[in-house]
Amino acid sequence: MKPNTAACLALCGSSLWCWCGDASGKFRGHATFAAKCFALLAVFVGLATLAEYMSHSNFGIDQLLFVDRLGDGHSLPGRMAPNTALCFAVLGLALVLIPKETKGGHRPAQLISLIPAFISLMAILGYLYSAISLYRIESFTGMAVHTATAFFLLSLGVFFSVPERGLTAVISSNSLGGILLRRLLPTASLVPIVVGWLRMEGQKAGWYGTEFGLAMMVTVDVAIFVAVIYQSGAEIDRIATARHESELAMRTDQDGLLAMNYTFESVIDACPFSIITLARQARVQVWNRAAEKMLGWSWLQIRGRAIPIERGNSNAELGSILESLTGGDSVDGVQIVLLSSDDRAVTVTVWAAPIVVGSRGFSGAVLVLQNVSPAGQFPNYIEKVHS
Amino acid sequence: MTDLVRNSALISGLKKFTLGVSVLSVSLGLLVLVGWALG
Repeated sequence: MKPNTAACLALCGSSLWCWCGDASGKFRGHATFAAKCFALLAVFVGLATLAEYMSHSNFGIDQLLFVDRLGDGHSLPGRMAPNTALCFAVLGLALVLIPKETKGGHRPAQLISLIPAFISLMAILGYLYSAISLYRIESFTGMAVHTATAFFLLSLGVFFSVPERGLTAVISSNSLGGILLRRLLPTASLVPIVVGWLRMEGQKAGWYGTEFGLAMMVTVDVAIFVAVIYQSGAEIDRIATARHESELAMRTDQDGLLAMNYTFESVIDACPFSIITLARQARVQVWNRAAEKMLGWSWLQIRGRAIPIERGNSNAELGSILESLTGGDSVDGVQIVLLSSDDRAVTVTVWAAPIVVGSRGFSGAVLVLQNVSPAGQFPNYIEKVHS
Repeated sequence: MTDLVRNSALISGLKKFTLGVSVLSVSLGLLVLVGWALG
């Protein structure tokens, strides 16, 4: 690995670290600035080296850090390989663009990072299969194997730097597509490489010829892919069936709750006593038919409003009832004077209980009213029941 | 994407992978530079 390659690798790594580190507040701004500077420096070195190759000139950057006395005999001393320079130019650009997202939710950095990933993968495969032309271009120096490995990992790092966005959003999701991708992508990437290497080693050892080796490689590839795809399909089918059953059960539960709700509404409406439910802010939610008959206000008139009370002591009494309910206490037989729609004072006895919904706590209250006015519109049911 | 669909463990793992790769690259680069400095 040439000194410039090592320096640019450190710059790219630092840039990625700055983007993905836990810096916050003022340091976040500094980290972003540093990440861009490091990445742009790598882009500059990569482009300058490519320009040197294309223009057959020497800008003096190759041995800026250290004098190359090793000389591999392939290129100018200290100059990184052309594919390495291209990788730095493209990877640096991807690093600069990491936070950018298009209106369509695409992340350019992810797409760009695939270019150095494929170039470095070709170089790695070149070393694995002894195909020199995959990592060395013409007579120039080649990309070192550890440089290619570092590029491949760095490209993957940039690709997965914001895993919940862009192309990686599906891969990192729990959706059926995400599960399928996580099963198939590693297989599609690794199986051909490993099987191809095994085939080549077998052929080198003289176990079989090209035609037999090729046929065997294709057969093994097909067998592995069919097995993995079938297994993935079966797994997806199992998950989809479980989700469907869960949805059906949920729908049945919802229907049951709805039926229960209608039943309660009917019971409340049929009840001969006035039943009122109040929301959190003491506003009327339910106002049954008996309440309508007793006070003359229809549900549509009173909905979302406060209970109509006669001015005077009833105000304080109703306040103390609401206070008790908010505190979680029930109220038994407290008398208050309400106001009917035709401005009559109607004395009622109140029985009430708070509605407490799980962690939300106090959510409202249910009030049962009995008309105890001398000219009560209804007979005193409670006294009748007790007698 | 909703939290229900997100695979938090995988996302956290991928972020750690990215951080690890960055540290590895810096280490490799600096190691090679030190090697060159030592001749």
